Amino acid sequence: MSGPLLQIDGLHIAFGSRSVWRDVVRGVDLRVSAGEVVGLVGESGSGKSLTALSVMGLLPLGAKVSSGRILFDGTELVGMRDGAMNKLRGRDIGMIFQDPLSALNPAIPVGKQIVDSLRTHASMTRRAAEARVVELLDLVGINQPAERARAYAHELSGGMRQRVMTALAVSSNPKLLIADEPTTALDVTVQAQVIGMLDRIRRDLGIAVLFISHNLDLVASICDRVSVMYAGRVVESGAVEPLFDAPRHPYTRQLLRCVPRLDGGTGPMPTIPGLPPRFGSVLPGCAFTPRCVVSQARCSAQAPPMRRESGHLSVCWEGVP
Amino acid sequence: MSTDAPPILELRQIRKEYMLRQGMLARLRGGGKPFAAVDGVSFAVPRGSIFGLVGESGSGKSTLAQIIVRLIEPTSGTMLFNGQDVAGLDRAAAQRFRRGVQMVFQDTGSSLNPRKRVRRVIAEALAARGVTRANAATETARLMDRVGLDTPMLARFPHELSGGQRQRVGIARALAMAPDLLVADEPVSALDVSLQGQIINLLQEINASLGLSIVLISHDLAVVARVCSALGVMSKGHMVESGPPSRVLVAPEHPYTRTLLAAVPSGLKGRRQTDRTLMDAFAAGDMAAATAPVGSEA
Repeated sequence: MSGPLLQIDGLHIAFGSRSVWRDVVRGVDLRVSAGEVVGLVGESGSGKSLTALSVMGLLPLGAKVSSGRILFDGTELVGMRDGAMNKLRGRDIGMIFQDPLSALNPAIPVGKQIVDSLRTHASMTRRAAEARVVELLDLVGINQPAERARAYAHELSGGMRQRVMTALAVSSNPKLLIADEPTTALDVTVQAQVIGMLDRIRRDLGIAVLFISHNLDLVASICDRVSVMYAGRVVESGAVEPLFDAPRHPYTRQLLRCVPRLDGGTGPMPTIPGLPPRFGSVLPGCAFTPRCVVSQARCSAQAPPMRRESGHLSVCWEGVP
Repeated sequence: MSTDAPPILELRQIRKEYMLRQGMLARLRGGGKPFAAVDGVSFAVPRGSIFGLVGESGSGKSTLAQIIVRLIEPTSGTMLFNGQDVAGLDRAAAQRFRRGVQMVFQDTGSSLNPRKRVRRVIAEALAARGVTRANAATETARLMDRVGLDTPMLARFPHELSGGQRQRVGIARALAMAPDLLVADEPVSALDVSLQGQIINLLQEINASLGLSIVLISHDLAVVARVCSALGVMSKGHMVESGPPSRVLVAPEHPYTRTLLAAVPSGLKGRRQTDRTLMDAFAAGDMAAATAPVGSEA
């Protein structure tokens, strides 16, 4: 195949109304190749979820893509008509959300929801779809799939609901699965099971995954490449091992130190001083400057340069003469 | 303080049952099956220490927190506060107890009144403790300084604060009662990782400088390992294991503790070593393999 499956160039997303628009995602570049697992990490407000939602054409009211391109399989998604977008999402791009209880319809049995998707996107007959649902629920590791298909979302546990969401998302053999904090609401043991299931399924079906998470350890354990976002920009990206082994951006380095570790010793925990910038505040230079331990005079005034060495990108003034 | 002072808190065989309603007929008969959310839990919190409670949702740790602050009464068992049985307290003593045990909640969005400014949140707590209006201003300033908030924050509403700042207000409100014991129920799990440390460090500082005893409830084993002198692992209403973190988390005896430890994503290290096999084991539902002692597989 020529080019990546998903290619985002210079994406800006703004919030506002009428004349006043403020960019909260400020020039994101991202690539996901077929079959690849790419992690997008960042704290709340960094713009990682907005970036994912813009791919699905699901930006909340009051938000819009103000500039940039989103190419999926060579097709421009920005400005695409609703009809065409509807065909794409659910069929070629599946998505699973943090809160499956609000993403699933509470009044319709979970199996019926997958049947509806299959009939819409795969033009299956009811009978064929019902048979496929049982296979899909079995695939995501649900015992007694035929019985579970008749259950309502509230009758299932959190881990089970996330499995159902996954079955729904992969039902039409998408090329790309977007997983937005899929295990954040789950207990660690259930998280490990759901992540194991996701990893197995995407290998079996050859699906590329854009994995959005604030959990660095989780991203490190399952992704091939990762992009780190801060205040609406990608500050560092690269293959997982070099990035976590030798992070280049001061934000990534400081953030990794903050992750609590079982063998982290005692005493005060490492922290990043200060707070992330408020939504939409305009910063001429690097947004991380006030919290950065290696900041220089030019950091707050001038936008830092993008530097790429063997595929490892860092956007920082550090080490620039 | 003498060395043989009683622990600030001691729980003996605490049990809390809820009736499971099984439809109309059972309800009319007054029947139903009892379900023990907390089942025979005993532990003691030495004065001035931080005790950690870990476990997953449904393990009973939050029920235990509610019992400790007496939001709910246990079905059976004894709870001693400062060596005194809290069940037999008269009105005045019960009130002193309630003042002496304060709680910090996970969700500051819902545990702070959205229509009250920070100043009023703290003023009401001080008034409840009986601090005179004349002393309230200096006391408020002292509390704000203690939790690391600037005085201009007093004029803010909760929604005008960040999550970390709101949690500091929650802690200031609890401290306004001059408590002997703080029960912190998942105080940082709603916060970003770069801010979690700030709040955990604040709790540690308060513990060290005021000698305030803390029960820290968390699902994050690493946080508990770092700050607690002892911890208890809850599973299905039971405390399956307890002791200092250096033993419980390094050489766990109970299989559930091992499962919990194994499930924590371990980043790159795990990627290179065992995460894949661990995940496969979990995915296959083979908990036994996942919890087997390290080194037991070929």
